[in-house]
Amino acid sequence: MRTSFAAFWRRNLALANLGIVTNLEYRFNFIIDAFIQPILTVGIEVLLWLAIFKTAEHAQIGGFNRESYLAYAVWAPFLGRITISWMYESMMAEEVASGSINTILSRPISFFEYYLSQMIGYKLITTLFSMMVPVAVSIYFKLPIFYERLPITLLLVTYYLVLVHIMSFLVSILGFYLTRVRSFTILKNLTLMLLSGELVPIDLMPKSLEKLFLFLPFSSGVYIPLAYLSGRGDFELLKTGFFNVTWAIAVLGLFSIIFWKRGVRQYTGTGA
Amino acid sequence: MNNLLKYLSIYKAFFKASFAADIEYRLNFVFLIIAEFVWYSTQLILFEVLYRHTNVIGDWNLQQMRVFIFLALFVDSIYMILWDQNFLAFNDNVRKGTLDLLLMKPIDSMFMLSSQRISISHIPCFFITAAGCIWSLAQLPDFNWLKLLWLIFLVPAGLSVIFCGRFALNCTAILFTRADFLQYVWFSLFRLGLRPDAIYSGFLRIILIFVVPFAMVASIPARILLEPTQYWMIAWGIVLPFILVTLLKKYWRYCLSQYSSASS
Amino acid sequence: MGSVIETENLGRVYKTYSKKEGILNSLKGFYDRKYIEKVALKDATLKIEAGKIVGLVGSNGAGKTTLLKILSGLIYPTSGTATVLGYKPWDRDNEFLKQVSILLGQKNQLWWDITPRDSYSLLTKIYDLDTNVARARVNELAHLLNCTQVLDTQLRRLSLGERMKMEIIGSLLHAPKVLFLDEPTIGLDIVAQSAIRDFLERYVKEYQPAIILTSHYMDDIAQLADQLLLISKGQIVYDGTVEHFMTTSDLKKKLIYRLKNSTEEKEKLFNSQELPMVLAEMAGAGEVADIKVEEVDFEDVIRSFLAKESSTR
Repeated sequence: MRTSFAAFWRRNLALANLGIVTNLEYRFNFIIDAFIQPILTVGIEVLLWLAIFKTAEHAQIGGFNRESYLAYAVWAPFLGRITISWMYESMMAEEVASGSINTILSRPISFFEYYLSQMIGYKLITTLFSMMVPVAVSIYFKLPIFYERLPITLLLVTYYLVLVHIMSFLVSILGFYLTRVRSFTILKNLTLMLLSGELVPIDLMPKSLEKLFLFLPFSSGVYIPLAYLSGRGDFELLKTGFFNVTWAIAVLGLFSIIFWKRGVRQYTGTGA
Repeated sequence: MNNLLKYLSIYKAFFKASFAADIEYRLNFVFLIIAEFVWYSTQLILFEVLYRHTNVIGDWNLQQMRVFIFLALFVDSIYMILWDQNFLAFNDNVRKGTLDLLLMKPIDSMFMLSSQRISISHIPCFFITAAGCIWSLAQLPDFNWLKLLWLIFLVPAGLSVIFCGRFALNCTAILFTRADFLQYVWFSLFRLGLRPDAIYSGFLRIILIFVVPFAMVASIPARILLEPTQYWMIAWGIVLPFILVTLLKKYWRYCLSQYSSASS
Repeated sequence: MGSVIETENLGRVYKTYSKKEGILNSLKGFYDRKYIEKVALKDATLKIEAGKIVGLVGSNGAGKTTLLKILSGLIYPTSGTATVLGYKPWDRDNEFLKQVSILLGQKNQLWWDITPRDSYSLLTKIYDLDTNVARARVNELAHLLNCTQVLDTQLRRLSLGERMKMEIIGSLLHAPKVLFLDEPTIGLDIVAQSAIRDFLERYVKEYQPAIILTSHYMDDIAQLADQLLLISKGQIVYDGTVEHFMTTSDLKKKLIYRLKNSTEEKEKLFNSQELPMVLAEMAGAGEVADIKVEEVDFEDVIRSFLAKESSTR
């Protein structure tokens, strides 16, 4: 498929647009996704950390103070939600499993691109709205957040989304070989919750685990951007993050190309 | 009585069918079990890591917190076995219109919608979490094992909170056609139950006990086990399921009356 | 036998909202929605007797499914009354549900991952049937439908036609007195279609249920329906037999012709008096290469009827 650069952008902007419009269509859904859920999750995490510090015998835990953890508790679920793909992954898996992928295969666009742009468009719009929650809380509690670092942090997160999408793509490719792949999604996303640092700040882990987690690319989803944003980490750490995502995209991308080609070749559909 | 026997025999048939369906996808089956263990581990790891840096959270130490977490996971595992798959499928049923077919069955619609799939892959979790509970209780210096009997009332109470909460959220999907995000709200809400109520203070805690009673899932049962018995908690645990189920039935009837099938 | 289904002035109004193209309009629709009331069914009054097949015909969105769903109790009417087997359908009384059945051509009621036989034993429990009776019935119906060999294969491995046969057995398992069939032959090949048609014909003769049938295939209706209900824009515009419909229609003949240098066949329906006019019109169109005159069939009349209905009003 030969495509010019302009056509590529036109096509993908249209898809991003599709992602946005589809999700605004169901406003109740959207309000929950962009506001209610972030407020709930942030609320619970903040309360947990407040309770921890209330009964803690020191003013600092692991070298950081209360405000620093509150900042983590407020922003980690926010980043965690951006960087986890449940909806589009299950949609993709469903397309493969049900055979409706055929309609996309017969169009001059790749399955990968089709969903990547929709996902990013959709993430963009929800992020735009749901960011109000952590920003408001941070300002109110005067949390240590370097707002000028926000753009580059979000850039890393967006870059990381490509990796997330490649993983979703790999899971849905499994649908060529297996009839049910839901369990892979669950297992993967739960593991990522831990590896990305959404659940516990990675710097609280035992040293050896901390090293391992920082070596893996998944910490670039939550921990690294957040550490940089809140001043727990420096620019060096952020660079490591970009570097990690790059090699992971290269490796997993290669895998997905291979598996995709093999999968499509032996694809038989369910006869529906 | 006759009715009860009829439903039991239907349930037996559901169980058989679920078993047949579950082992159809062997790899998925195995992965679901693994995923469940990862999930349990994350919940444990969170507190194990936190307690590396502090001795008390709320008013519980690590040993007591473990009792709480295993209890929460134990209740969760029962919920997962009995209902979760059905609730996951609920939105799809609404969207694709297969809800129509389910509603046309001459048995209680709430039963049909909540219980036709039983998750066989979660049965191991039930035993593991039960063992975890026993183990964590055995670590306590002077635990009175007779207290476990209170769980006969409190576990069903906790389950009723999860069941009614989730069912009510799903009903809402009927009103709004598309509501897949309700299940993510559910996950957030459910987190309320997975955190000890000690982290919530004052007003909020009262809400969690009486209004959105997620404290009943594990916090209250854990308090009954770990602390001197407070009888009002047990009384509340006995009354609560009746209140919740009655409210849920009303709400369900209302939602059905609003239902206009998706495919017309 | 008296009528099993009776309705009077049955109606249903839906609310939908409209939105223009683009993100901006999406955002606008987010806080300010324009609702439109859509009449899906209006003043439907009808009577249906046991042992009869009623063919419900209309174009897409005419209100067929709405009528079907009200009568099966899935949705509430916004006006009028209906009784089915003496029950108000939307009360969804268990005794009522045990005597009716619905089959939606594009949806599965059987369980996807298990064999039809396993599904049937589940249904046996749900409908509280005697195990042996139900088992015998499955065998009998499977024999009639000529599909005994696939009863023990998981549903998802079956072809569309086989799956539909399995669904039909599932919906007839409890010997319903009223049966709602929504597009039972959709997507099937001609052989499977006629197999299902023949089966339904025999089944009704033997068990005397009332059947309401919708289908896009006019052959289904022409062969099966004792009573024809034509529905257009939510209103019943014809209620009577297929034969009567054909005799009252003034379109009797069909002229098919092809012009020279054209591969396209043109078709014109007309009544006997119009012959000279039609011929003149054809001659005026150009040099005729081929010509045929036929008796109209049911599908022709219905098609021109529906086309006329949708162009007027």
